[in-house]
Amino acid sequence: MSVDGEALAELTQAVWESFVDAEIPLVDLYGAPLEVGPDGVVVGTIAIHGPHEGRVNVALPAGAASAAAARMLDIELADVVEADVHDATGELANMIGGNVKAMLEGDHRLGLPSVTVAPTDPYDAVASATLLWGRHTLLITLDRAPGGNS
Amino acid sequence: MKVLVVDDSRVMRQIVVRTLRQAGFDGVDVVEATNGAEGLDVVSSERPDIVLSDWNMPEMTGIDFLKNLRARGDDTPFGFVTSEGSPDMRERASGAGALFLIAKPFNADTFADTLSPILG
Repeated sequence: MSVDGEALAELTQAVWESFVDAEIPLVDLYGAPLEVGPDGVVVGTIAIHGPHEGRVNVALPAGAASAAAARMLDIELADVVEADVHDATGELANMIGGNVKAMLEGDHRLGLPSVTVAPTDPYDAVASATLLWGRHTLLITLDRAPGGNS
Repeated sequence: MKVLVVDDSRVMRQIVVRTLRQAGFDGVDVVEATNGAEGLDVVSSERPDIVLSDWNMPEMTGIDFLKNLRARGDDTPFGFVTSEGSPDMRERASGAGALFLIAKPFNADTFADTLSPILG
């Protein structure tokens, strides 16, 4: 089974609705660029190893990452610290990555999630979904490592 | 009843505990560990009635945690709560002695349906 932007959008919607925000549904912006706010972007990444060598990346503006962490921890936004943002963003990448892995043909394994506060070096994007959460955009990508198979 | 929640993510441990409460298991005691190796120690010291463990963790994965438990003769009921729910992983989990595998994302109904036979 291949993974396309629509599948990424559906997986992300399911994760978001369960753990981040059941009130405001994500809106698919069909490939629109990520809008980065003045505080920069937070990117959760998880590697996929196997016939498809690549990564799942969850990129969101820093303000959105903090808001998502507050909701996942059920705490006030003012109480969110950097470690919470990294933990929550990494877990989002882990959950979306795990569901992507299940859709890929062949035997794959996941790495452990990592989080950066700047866009990761771009690999070849295989599929992407840009989603609107309230006033924030999120960019979910499945990429392929240089020289990797898909 | 005592539940051991094992996950390297504090966010996810909190979500699992919150979902337990939402599923109606508000009376259970919860203890936590951040990976399989720590989980082995907590099982020994706390004697939980069930373990809910992530699969993909540093130090010791959930499947190695389960295999280590069974290898030392410990038959504490064990279930996975993990982002990976492929048929292959379910088979590996079952083969190692897990009672169930709950795939993320999940909700309170999933917890209630799966855990009621064990937690009552």
